Amino acid sequence: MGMKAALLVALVVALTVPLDHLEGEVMAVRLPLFTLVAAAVPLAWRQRFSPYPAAADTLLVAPFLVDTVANIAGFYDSFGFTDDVVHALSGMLVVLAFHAWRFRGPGGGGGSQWDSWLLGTGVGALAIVCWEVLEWAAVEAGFDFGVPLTYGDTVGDLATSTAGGMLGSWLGVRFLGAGHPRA
Amino acid sequence: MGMKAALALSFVVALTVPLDQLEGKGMALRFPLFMLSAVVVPLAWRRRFSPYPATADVLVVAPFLLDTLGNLVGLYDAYDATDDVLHTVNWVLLVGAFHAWRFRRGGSADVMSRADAWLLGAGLGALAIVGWEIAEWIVAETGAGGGLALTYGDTVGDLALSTAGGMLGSWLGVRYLRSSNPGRQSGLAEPA
Repeated sequence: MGMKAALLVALVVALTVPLDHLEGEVMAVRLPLFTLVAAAVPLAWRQRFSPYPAAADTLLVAPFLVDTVANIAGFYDSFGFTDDVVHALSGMLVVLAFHAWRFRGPGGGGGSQWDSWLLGTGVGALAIVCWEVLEWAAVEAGFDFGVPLTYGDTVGDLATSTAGGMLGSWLGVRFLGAGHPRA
Repeated sequence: MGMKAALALSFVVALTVPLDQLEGKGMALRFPLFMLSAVVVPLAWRRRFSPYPATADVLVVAPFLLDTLGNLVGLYDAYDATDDVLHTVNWVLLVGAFHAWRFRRGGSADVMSRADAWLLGAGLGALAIVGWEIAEWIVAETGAGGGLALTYGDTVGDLALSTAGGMLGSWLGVRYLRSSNPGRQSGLAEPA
């Protein structure tokens, strides 16, 4: 709950406090999307298994909190590499959340460690492809992100997020998989 | 073997016959990469299981043959939709090849649930197009592609269509290539 409360507070600050560096960051568009993410694990869980996948819930919300806090603190404007770092970190956390859900779930995550790693890495790749397609669609629909989205930026996002997903998948299989305390 | 012979023959034509529609297509650069598809399954197999994964072998070569033929006959220049159609179809085939290999190999393949197997194939498709687009960008940046005209919009379109093709290919693969007995495929006959 602490992570979600922090995300809510961060979004309230971003939407109510007039900060120069938040202009063009479409925080109003982020609000419904990020709220949906906060509700995703409880909605998918619906008491179908026990105990509650708390690690998955926390790990899934974390990237969106990191993005919001980085925006409020003005990191994206101050440090050119912030976007790359956040993409890599977010890719890792999202894939870790997937593994935390999968290994905690009723199936217990069948398949070899190699298959599990590839599965998590693929989920990370699917996630960044969807993200980049949505970002492009938002720009085409007329939303102003404040900074121009370019071909080079998109390829960079794909590379850093996928690399983060690969690392996250390795960590997930290594520390959340069979033979380890359930996440 | 027929598919591989057709691919080799297509490249002989592409590299020796001066055709307007092949200018700036980087066919010489494609040649080693595309021919690699003809040896990847035999090299990965190395008689480690039986029978030979012939379906996977055919499905892995097919996208590269389609792309080469599409360039040879000038489909890319004649019809704007060619790139979109081939990106989708090729990813159906590539992910189908992955499932054909995996289910033929057996082992842990049948332990995974159908949903996880579908997600595994779809994810592999997404991973492949991400790798492809990064490689294309590097080729464009270094100028090695001989003038590839790549744009942000094209790239996003390729990502979306290939991922959709991968999802469909994964569904078809799990539906028709999955077997209840490891090492034996069902649903699709092996080509002779």
